[in-house]
Amino acid sequence: MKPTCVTKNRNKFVIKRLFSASLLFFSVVLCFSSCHSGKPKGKEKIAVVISTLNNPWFVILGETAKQRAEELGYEVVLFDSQNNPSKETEHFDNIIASGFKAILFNPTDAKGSVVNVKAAKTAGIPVFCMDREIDSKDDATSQILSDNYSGCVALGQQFVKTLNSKGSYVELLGIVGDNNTWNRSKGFHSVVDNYPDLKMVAQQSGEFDRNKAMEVMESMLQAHPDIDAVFCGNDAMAMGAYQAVLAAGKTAKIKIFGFDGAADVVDAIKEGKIEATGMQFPKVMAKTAAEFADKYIKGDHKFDQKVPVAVELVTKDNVEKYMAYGKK
Amino acid sequence: MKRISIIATAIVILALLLYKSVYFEKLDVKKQRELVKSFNPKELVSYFWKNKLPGLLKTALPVSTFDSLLKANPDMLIKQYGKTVGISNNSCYLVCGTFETAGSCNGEISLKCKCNYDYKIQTKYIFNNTARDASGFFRADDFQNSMDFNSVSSEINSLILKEMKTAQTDSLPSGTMIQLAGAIEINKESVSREIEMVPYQIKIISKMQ
Repeated sequence: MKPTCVTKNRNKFVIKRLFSASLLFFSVVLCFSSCHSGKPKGKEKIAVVISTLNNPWFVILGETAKQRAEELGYEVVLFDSQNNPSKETEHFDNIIASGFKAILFNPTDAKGSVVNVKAAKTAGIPVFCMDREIDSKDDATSQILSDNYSGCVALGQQFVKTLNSKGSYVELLGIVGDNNTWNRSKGFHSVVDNYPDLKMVAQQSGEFDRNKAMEVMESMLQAHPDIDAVFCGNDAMAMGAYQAVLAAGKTAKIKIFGFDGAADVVDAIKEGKIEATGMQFPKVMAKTAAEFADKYIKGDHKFDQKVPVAVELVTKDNVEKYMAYGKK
Repeated sequence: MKRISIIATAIVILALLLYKSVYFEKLDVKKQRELVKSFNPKELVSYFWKNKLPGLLKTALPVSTFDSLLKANPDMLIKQYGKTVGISNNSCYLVCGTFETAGSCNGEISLKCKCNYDYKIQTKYIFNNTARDASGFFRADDFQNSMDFNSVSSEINSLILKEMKTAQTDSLPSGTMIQLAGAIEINKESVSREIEMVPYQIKIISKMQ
């Protein structure tokens, strides 16, 4: 009898131990899982790579993309390529190595930036180009771009109207490696070149930079003091050209045309210092790119490769409807 | 029974192999793709003009319908008939109609019409993308870069101006009856009273003596 009692007690003891161990195990699992679910899940990361943050227009583009992506629940890092393609490549290398889920990209060079986009694509990271185009139709997931050509067609028509189809003028081009520079110039010339009494006496790059444009304009004014107008590939150059024209005391004669819709140019149009500009919508482009990236991350992979965003002509007649980089 | 299932499986495999190895494509689609790939705007536009435009013009909206919808229900007009490239307030339309000319000045022909808006045809200068975009035939995605896409517009516009010169439309006297197929672009935020048409075709029905 004794041995049976001992066995029973031992069995009870074993069951008790097993029960306690299971209870402890489940408590630990429960605690771990509840602790885990209570902790905020790590945010996915989106990179915003901007050609230069030394120009207010691109600051607006980058900051808006960052803000919209953050609103959509992502951790966002903003990279400045400082208009330097090798810096841009460094950024892409870091982004690819750091587990970013998407890149909102404003390229430094239409051709040179393709290699970076290809590298991101190979690593499975979608790239959404903003404002500036890359010379490839297969590598970016989508390219949201200003319709520069059409915008400059409208500016060209305004230019012809303002100058009564005659006079001499100079052109300040943007960065020569940027497709936007040529789309703008070609749009403008597709109109203006039809009027034989409108003569372009000089054409030079101001590299989309205010100070550079001022220097170039000063030397152009020395060589061609009798010009009637200047067409500038962006507003920063238009303001640089205005400073040179002001210093030469010719603001009453020389009409200045810009492109972008920057704050100082919108004000200058109101004050009659600048004739017209093409209003781009960087906020629309940046928000669209961020929303596309969000859709992509959530599984929707169908996007138009090129999404042109319309540019609107701003003159003294309609400037009240606009503010910096957009409509009121 | 076993033999039948083996044959059936073999047929399925063969059909699958054939399906995967043979690819059918319409000849004109292939031609169009090749033209875009080996991009020559003149050739591409010439192909479009001869082979695609006539069919597209058959789907053109009568100007009377365009006019009344624009006045009464612009949202419906845009939704049903408008073609918009990218993000824009502008939309383009293929339209057609018979008109009497009211006069011409500086490369513009004014048209007489019992309409809500005043219609004009551009015959001397055409600069915008209206003719390209109203056709709905060209997609930005098909081109390597925007410059190529834009050069299609320049080429179409040049071709239209050439056709207008040949048809001597700049010297049409007032009162001439014409049949017109063209393109219109409107901005939904600011529809102007004057509407410009870019003509694809102008056929003179009768001239005032």
